[in-house]
Amino acid sequence: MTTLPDCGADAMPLRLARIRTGERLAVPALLLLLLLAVLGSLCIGIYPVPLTDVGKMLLGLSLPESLRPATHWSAAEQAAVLVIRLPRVLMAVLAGAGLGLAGTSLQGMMRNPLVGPDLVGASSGAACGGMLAILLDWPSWGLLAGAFAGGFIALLAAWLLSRLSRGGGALQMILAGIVVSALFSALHGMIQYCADPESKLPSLVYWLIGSFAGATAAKVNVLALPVLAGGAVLLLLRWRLNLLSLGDLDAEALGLRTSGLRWLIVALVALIVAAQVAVSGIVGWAGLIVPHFARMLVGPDHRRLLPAAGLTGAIFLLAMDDISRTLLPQEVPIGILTAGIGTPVFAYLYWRSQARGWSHD
Amino acid sequence: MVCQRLGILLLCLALLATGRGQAQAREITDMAGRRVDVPDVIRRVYVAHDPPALFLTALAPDLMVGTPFPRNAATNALFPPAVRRLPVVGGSTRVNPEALLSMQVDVAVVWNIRGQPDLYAEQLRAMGIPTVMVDASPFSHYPEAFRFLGRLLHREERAERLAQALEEGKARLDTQLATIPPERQIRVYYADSLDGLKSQCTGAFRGETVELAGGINVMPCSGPDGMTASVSTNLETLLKIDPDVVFARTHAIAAALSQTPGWQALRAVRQGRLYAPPELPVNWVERPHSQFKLLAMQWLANKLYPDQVPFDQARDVRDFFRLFYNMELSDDDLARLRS
Amino acid sequence: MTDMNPTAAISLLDLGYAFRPGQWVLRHYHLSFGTGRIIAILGPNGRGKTTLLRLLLGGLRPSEGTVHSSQRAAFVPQLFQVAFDYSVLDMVIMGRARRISLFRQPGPADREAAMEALDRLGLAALAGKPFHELSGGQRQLVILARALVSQASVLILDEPTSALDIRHQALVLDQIERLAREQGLTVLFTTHSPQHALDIADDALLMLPNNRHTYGPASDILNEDNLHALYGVPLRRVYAEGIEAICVPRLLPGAANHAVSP
Repeated sequence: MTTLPDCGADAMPLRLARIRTGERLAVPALLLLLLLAVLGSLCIGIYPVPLTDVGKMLLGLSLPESLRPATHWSAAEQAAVLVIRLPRVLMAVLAGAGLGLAGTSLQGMMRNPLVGPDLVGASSGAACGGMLAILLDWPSWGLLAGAFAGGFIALLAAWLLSRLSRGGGALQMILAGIVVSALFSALHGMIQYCADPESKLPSLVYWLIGSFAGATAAKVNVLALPVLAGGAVLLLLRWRLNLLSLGDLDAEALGLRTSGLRWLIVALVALIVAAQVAVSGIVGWAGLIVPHFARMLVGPDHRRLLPAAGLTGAIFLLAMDDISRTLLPQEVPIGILTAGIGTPVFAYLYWRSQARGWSHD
Repeated sequence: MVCQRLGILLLCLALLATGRGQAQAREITDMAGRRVDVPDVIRRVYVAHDPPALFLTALAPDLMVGTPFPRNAATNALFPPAVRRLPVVGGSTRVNPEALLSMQVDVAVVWNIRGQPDLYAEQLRAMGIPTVMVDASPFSHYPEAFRFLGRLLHREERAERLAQALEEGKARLDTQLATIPPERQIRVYYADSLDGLKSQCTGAFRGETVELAGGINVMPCSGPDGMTASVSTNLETLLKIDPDVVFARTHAIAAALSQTPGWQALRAVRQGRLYAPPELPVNWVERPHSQFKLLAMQWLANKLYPDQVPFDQARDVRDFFRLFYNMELSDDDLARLRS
Repeated sequence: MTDMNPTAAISLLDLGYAFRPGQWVLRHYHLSFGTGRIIAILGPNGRGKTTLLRLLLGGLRPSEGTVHSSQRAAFVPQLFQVAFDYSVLDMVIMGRARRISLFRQPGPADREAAMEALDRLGLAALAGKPFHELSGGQRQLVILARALVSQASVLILDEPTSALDIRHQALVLDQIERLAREQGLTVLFTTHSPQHALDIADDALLMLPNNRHTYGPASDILNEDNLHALYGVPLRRVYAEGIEAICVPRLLPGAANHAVSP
């Protein structure tokens, strides 16, 4: 047996180490950035509150009653920070993190970097399910259950549709998502038509326009559990996403039970999206472009990508919401902002993927 | 004897013949300036929109083929029998055109929504139904609308009485409000949506009750007013604006807002100055707009300026119902209105 | 026909597969692959090589008969396109999937095993490179490393040399041989090249037309008659200068004319 020469001489183990360090620092850096963003967001707003007072209020929150500093600010100022801004900031953070995690998981599972929960119809489906629950007067937990069922069915439908054509490339998936979204839009219209204009219609229309303006502590609670629990499970599965993204044949040969894992991920994504849509309406595009930002920072390995995407999503939506509530006297719905940024970014990504031949068929 | 009977028979026949001749068309100019040929005797009227329909429930309910707005037991309890027995036929967006044709109406009445082309009126005319347009947008046009409908339906006397009631009621209120100096005027935020963050800006006729009641609408308008001069806002802005009163369009909205922590931070809500109008038989303020707006502005003005504007529900509401509907309200009815 | 060997790595017991009732791809495959042997599977495109591999891996259910595997098999596919740009090391670590439970992440032991596999194949320097930047041959070797890392005892490769240039073909074949000889792995590979089969395989399975097949020691099975039946072209097996070669003969102009049937 002859010894053959080594292949590929450029790469050095040292370069490997350097890449790792940069990427390893990214996640803690993002966490720090998020904390700063949260603090900063609590300080800005239309109602003028001095920064130092904001700090003291927050400090007072975390201390027991007896140790709290004396309050020399007005009730209105306290309400502005703790009752109006704080739930809103928390909601934006949770929704952003949830959408970031859900979007990344979807992209990994569907082996396609050009999908997002809203593009494949999951947000539409969740809104439909929730609207149906309102129309049929289901109890409050029925709302979330309806939204979950709607999102789940939409994801399933988009997945199956895209598999009809061999390969399931980028274009097929987007088309499947368009079809599913259109179907649920028609259902929205029908539900709205059937609804009583006085009692039911107003609460139905709200589902379609994403906004954090109505954030309350109660809504944050509704959002927190699904996002944190669902997100935690997704984070535990983050390495498996690498495997799943190889394709069914390959993944199964490596020992993965792909169909079971897929069901689980779809369920978790549907859960997170349903909760987010239920409390704040459809917020589009975030779940698509946040994973791309995160991939630029930490690379495609889901072990780092998933936490990075969660943090990036939180920071992104928080920034968007800050803009939407401070830029103009009238509230700009956050869906408009995310669409304004998301659509050109998506177009650019699609063009780049075609140019580089990344889209596999 | 036989001759007498024959004579009566001939007389009846002659009268019938002339009666036939009376069902000729006459020309009337509607409130949009259109000239329309309508039958002289009108027995069946279809009204496509809620405001003119409500005018007619007071003016000539016996001539209506039905109401465009839905009704339930609670609504019906505060309408007279003549209105109660009317079917719900649906308005312009809900009625089936063929069903409309089979109703064999003599005339259709359409609301002239300012700034909108009268495509619907054209559609009805193409179906062969004479259509008149009624201007019912700001309250100031209601008296003229009543008078016009009176001319159309040969109920001039009653229409005149109702129109005068509206004019006199408004004039009386204006006199009472005139005594209030500008710096003492109450600043009102009008909450139009379930989350309270949608409103109507100043001058928009949908929210005109606030101004008619002598209040100041805190939301500024940035464009021409119209049917939808909706603005959306957020809590922090409202906190900064600090309205004296929050006026919710419905009780449901008021209930939702009073339970939301963010709204409880507003001075108006904390002081209990969160009001919602009575909603029977229909919402007094808007959706639908109607003659009840007179009651709405009196009621709201009383809430804003209790010293200058007395409002005795028992007397003023009863008078209104007696005049417009020939109904005597019981104490139960009044209690239901209050809740 | 080889006897049923109780120590065989994989045994096929009257295996058959049909796409639709009556449309048989394979039928009556009754044979076993011995542990530690290198087995070449030959047949033209479309005759069912990939189907056989999927049956062996358990990805397809047989229409009749069974596949009995006493050991775990790892798969090295031919075409490889990844949606995301993983590094070489991350790709190889994926081979550890069976040893890492559902909710756990790879640990230092897994990383070490991956580096070791890369090292064994001489690819250690490529560990940090993005997979996309590798040549075809390097990619094939990386996937091979991934199969090794799973510590399976059976390797199944789908046309490992078909898309490679000669140098990399030689590399891959060499590695396959080493893995079998030095570590006792059972290696099955499909190929279009009877030459490669002859070079390194112990046994050969020929998938002949009309659902027939023949199986046995490579140097016996890979004779001119079988190959002619397999490919429909006359092939020559010649021995010269200590090298055994199989090729499709092209006569030099002016050389003696052996009547060759088209």
